[in-house]
Amino acid sequence: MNDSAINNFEEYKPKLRAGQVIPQGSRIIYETNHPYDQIIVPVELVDVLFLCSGQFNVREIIEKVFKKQGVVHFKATFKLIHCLRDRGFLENGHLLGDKKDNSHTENLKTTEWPWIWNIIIGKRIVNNQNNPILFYCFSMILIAISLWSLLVINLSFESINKSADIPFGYLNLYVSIFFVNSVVLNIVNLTRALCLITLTGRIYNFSLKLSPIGFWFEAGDETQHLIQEKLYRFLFHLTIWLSPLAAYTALHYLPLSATFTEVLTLITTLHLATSINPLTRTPSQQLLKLTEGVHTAPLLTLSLWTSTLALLLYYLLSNWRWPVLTPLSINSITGWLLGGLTVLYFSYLLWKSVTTAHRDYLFPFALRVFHALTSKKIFSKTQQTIDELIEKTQDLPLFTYFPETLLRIILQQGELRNYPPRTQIIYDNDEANDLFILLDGNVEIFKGQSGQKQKLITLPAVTIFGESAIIEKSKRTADVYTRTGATVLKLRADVIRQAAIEAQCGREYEAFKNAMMVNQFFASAPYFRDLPKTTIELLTMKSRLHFLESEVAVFNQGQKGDAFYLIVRGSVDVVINNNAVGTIPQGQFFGEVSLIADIPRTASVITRESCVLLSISRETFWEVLTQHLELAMIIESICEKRILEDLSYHQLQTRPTGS
Amino acid sequence: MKVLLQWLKNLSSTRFETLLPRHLLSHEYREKREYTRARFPIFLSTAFYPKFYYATTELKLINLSVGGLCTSYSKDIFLNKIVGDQLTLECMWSLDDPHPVPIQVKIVGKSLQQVHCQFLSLPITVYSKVVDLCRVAQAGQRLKPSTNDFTSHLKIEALEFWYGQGGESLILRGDSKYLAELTYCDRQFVLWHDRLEESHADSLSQTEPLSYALIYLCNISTPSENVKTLIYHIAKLLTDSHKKAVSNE
Repeated sequence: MNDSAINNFEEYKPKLRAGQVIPQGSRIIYETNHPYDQIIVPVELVDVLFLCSGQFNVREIIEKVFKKQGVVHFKATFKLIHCLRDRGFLENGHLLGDKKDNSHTENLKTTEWPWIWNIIIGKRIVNNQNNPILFYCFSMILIAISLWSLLVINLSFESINKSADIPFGYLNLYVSIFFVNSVVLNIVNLTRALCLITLTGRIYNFSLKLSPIGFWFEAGDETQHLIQEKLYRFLFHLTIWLSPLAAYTALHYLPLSATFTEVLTLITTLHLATSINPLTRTPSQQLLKLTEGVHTAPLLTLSLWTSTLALLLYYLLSNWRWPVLTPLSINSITGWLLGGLTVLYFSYLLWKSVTTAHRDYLFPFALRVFHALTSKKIFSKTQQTIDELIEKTQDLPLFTYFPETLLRIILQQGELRNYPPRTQIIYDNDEANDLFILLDGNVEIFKGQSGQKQKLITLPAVTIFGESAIIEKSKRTADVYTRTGATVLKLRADVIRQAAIEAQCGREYEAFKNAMMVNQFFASAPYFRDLPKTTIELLTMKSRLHFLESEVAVFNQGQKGDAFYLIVRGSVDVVINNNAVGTIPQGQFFGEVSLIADIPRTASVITRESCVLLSISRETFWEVLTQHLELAMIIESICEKRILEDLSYHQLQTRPTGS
Repeated sequence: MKVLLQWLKNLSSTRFETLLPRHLLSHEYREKREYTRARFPIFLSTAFYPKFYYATTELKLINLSVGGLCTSYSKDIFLNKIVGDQLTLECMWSLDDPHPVPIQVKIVGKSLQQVHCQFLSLPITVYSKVVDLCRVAQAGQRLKPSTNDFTSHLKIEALEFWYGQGGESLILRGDSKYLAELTYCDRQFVLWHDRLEESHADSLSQTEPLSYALIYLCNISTPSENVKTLIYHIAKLLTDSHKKAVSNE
């Protein structure tokens, strides 16, 4: 989910088609009359549905829901609006941008090709008793039949090639293509319809289609998104993808003429080739998307599909001659044309692979090597330089408490360096031992994963940076580059620590250290490090820092939840019914379940060691979440996970222990 | 940096004051005000709900939580008691409960009409029952009505539709078939003119579901006239059911 998509989403004003809402227990059914369709929505999201009138944008909807209900289901709201858009329930759905694809279906207003005659034969079949076991058996049988086709397939096209030489050869060929394609398309669509009806209990919008290349039955895949189990989704897409092969096996054993058999091979191969195109929405691509998180490397996926396609094309081209363009050779114009298109296609895939590799791997590596080789000029300090340094630094936080003599000693021990433009000063994840003072020029701070660094801020002179060194055993959380040429004073953190003790300004040092600690938390903690500066300022201003000894209860199970906690230092135990069920480490948070689900505390939380916690009030928590949907959805996901863990723990406890 | 400096100044009061040492974490001592309270229908006899007795006198419950209870102060039994006094109440959960459970309480508030007691010891059996009751009450507290402010584009097929963020709902159909559908704590009920029927369940007893349904509805913060009528109807069904049970005995 990228930022622009989220921003676009927050400003979007969803407008629902007119329809009716039928409440049914803990869910409601919303249905439109024309074109007919319905969607089942949990009762918690009714307000969202009511507010999708085109008057309010998503941010305003969320604020209104929060004001009315006291809680907001961010992730479900996000999914609902996208689902409504994908299902064609929103009049202005096109304004939300591209579809998020894989799970959802086409808009109700499907694309109508002029050469396809569409006869609508039914609106819906609803059978609330879905049967996953039947689906499983059906898909397994179909996959087995599909794989069987690999043993019987015959890639010979002699009869087709001879079509040009016999009277009415082309007509025969056309009739064969029409017939075989119709059969294959019918089998594919029937397979999909059967899978959907067994898995979801319903299919919508089925029709008969007639085109110059076939006549087939088609069922809409609107209910595809109702398949919740990942395994079933995987099997569903796999079955649909392989169904042309099943059709091949079924037809192969019929006493068909040689031309029919060859056309069958040709049509099946073309269907398979089309369905492995990684650039369009195909069953194989949806299969691939299901493996997200396992194969995240784009290089791997592209290579996989490129090599599969290459093998297939090679096999086809080496065994087949196009009858009209006989012989298919590099000397003919069409041969050049086809060859050119193939080369273009593969070039595109190659270009995509190379740019990905360059962006994610080569460029960051080259940059680091380049900056490592760039010289950093260190120059010595004269008395006059020290005086100038004192003048510049004495108003900086913490330094303001140091007497001039001590400050002079500190500055004398520092290294004064001149950096050329675009030079890296601090590397992410390096040990932080030094504090830097930017005396002249500008530096830029970048954060993010390799290859996707984002500029956070440009610091002007005179500023402290790299202050995480003040906290012991910490690592750098960002990259710092010079923007223009910069003069930087590098100070050892232990020297400053010692100086603070000697200056007897330990309290100020501690306060400074605490502030740095909180800053560092927001700079490094997962989920919070990408928050904008204004949000972090809001959180910092409205939070309280708590220093707790070990074995202290932060809150008890069953209490009303009034705050959300961030673990700045240490770790805490989660206790349910006086049994420790888990540990939450540093950098994480807790206490969100009660606030998000509007329920009493589901567990007690007890410090495992000495801890530093940052507590955020209920009001601030919601203020931040309603402003940052992405963060809200992440926190909600973790909340859901924890609720499920709590439930499973309770189930475990209440399970009978046997005889 | 200005924000940072301002924040630094606020760092002085950073100690937690409400934290309990781990050894005090038990069911035996809970801060009363920190737990959800179930409001009781005070117009009805408490016979269908947990009964608390003090010196053989039954207390009329106003609300109850795992932290304590609030009782109306119509009798003189608390006349000589002051805030801080400890008492022993007896709790009976059902009509035929032969063994009342003694519960230690402390008076933490007293006014002309009400006495607030904090549980000092709450046996685990009573605790779990109170938790169940409070869960139903909380579901009722979460219910909010659907408003017609922004729903011109949608037609709601119900006379009144109340819903909460925990999946609970109350649907008043307004047709002659049945009066309402109640959904809370993952259970779904249909309220007919003469009975309350649970969907996907084969429940014979009416008293418990009716009692809980009444708690559910009585905890709605701003009930409409239709909901009040429904409460009255359920209370009547509950009384009839109780009378029937007593006459059978």
